[in-house]
Order: sequence, then C-alpha cells, then structure tokens
Amino acid sequence: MKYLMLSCREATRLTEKKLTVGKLSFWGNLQLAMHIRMCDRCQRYAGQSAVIEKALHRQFEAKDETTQNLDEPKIELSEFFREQLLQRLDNGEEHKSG
Amino acid sequence: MSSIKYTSRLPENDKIEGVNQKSMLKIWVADYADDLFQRALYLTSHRETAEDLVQETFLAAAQQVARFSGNSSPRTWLAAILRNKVADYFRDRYRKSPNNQPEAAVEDSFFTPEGTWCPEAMPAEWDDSPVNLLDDPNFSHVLEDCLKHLPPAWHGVVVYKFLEDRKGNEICQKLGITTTNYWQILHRAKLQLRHCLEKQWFNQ
Repeated sequence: MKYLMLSCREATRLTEKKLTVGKLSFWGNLQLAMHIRMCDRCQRYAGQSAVIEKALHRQFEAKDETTQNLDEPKIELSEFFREQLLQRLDNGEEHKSG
Repeated sequence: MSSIKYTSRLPENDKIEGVNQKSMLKIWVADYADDLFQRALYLTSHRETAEDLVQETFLAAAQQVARFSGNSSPRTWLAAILRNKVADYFRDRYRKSPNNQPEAAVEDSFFTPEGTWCPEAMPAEWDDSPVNLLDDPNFSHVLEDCLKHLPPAWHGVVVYKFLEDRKGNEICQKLGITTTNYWQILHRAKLQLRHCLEKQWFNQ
C-alpha cells in the first residue's frame, strides 16, 4: 500500500507530466488517481492546472490577430525603422537564417 | 482549381517578377508592418526585439516570396513567418540562459520536506468558472503578467511550447533539452504561474 501512495509534490509532478506527455504509465495513472481521490488540494491543483493550460493555448494560439494590450498606450513603429526596412528590402539584403 | 491566386497578377517573366515582388513587399510593409510589430511587441514586451523580429520577418519574406502561393492572405502568411521568428527567439532565450536547468529549489518553496503542500502555497478554491475566466481579457492580462515573472529561461520554454504546436519530443530536440528536464521546467513554471494567478486574480 505504501508504494501506491504519492506525496502531493509527486502528485502535482505527475499531473503536469500527464498534461505534457499526454499519458502516464499504468502505475503512474493508478497512483495519481488514488492520490487525487483522497486529496482535495491536489484535485484542485489538477483542475486549475488544466484551466491554465487552456488559457495559455488561447494566449498564444488564437491570438495571432489581436495584439494590443488594452491598458497600455500603443507604441508605433518609427518612420526611421520603416525607411530602413524598405531600404534593406530594396538592396535585396539577404536574410541571415538561424 | 479555380481559386484566385494572389501572385497571379504577377507576370511570368522572371526579371519583371523580381521588380514586382519588391514593390509587392513594399506594399506589405505599408499594410502589415505595424500589425506585425504590435503582435511581436505583445509577445516579447520589448521594443527593439519586436523591431528586429519584424525586420527578420520581411527579409525572410523577401527571400521566400516566390513560394507565397496566394492560397492564404499575405497577412496570414507574414504572421506565420513572424510566429516562427518569435518561437526561435524564445528558443534561443532558453538555450542562452545561464541558468536553464530546472531548479528543485522552486518546488521546495511549495512543499514541505515530506512532500505535502506548504500552508501558504495550498491551492485555494477558485470562484469563477473556467469558462468565465477564459473569456475574460483581464484574466489573460494577469496571466501575461505572471508569465513575465517566471525566470527568463522558463518563460522561453513555456512560450515556445505554446507557439510551436509540436509534439513534446520535437520541442525537446529543438530546445536541446531532455524530456525529463522539459516537463520538470513546465511543472515548476506551472506551480509558480498558478500561485501568481491565485494571488493576483483571486485574492485581490
């Protein structure tokens, strides 16, 4: 029985591993399920962690179009930058890759 | 295929095409540079970095423009190039950080030596429903803010993970990191993020 019991620290670790790697070993799954059944905090953690995961997905995936942070004043590209860029494009400057 | 191709306006002749591609790129700078810059600035929070990334995006676009099929809008095409540039930036940020190993000390501040939650780090009940949270732009600002409080190397890993929609092992390869270190970093980053969100959003 002792071998089945995870600490909260290990349980949160497995929670993240499951989210990141997608699956756990048979034992890992069983251990995590047992711990979470008995531990309110880790149960909460697992739920909140999944919410954060979703929120991060939204933040970086769906937001290619939206850009502005509403609280902050908009910073514009400088004319200098634009001119330089156009000049570099005009010169057919090669893009350094890597 | 009857779809109208963006490049179909361009003559086939190579010489003329070169000139036209240049002028097309210039139009794109006028039309999209500012949007791309806003996006880059939003992701990196650093003006010079954002400018560099926009510049790299257009220089890369100039090189690849022959491959632009016109099946997508130029805006989408450029945004995809920028996205790759930003991902590379965060990957390098991780790679070049002097302390880019997952430090166990971070976990120690959340758990007792026996492995149970420290009283001040225990997850509390979150009042709002997940659906409300995900739709609240203020929540996403707080999340953004919390992300920025992560150590730079971890911030790099987290952003890279979500920008690059790839499998874990591919991401590890690109980052030059073992899978174990990878999910350990994500674990510790998540512990910190969760704690930060709880403090900033739920206990205001």
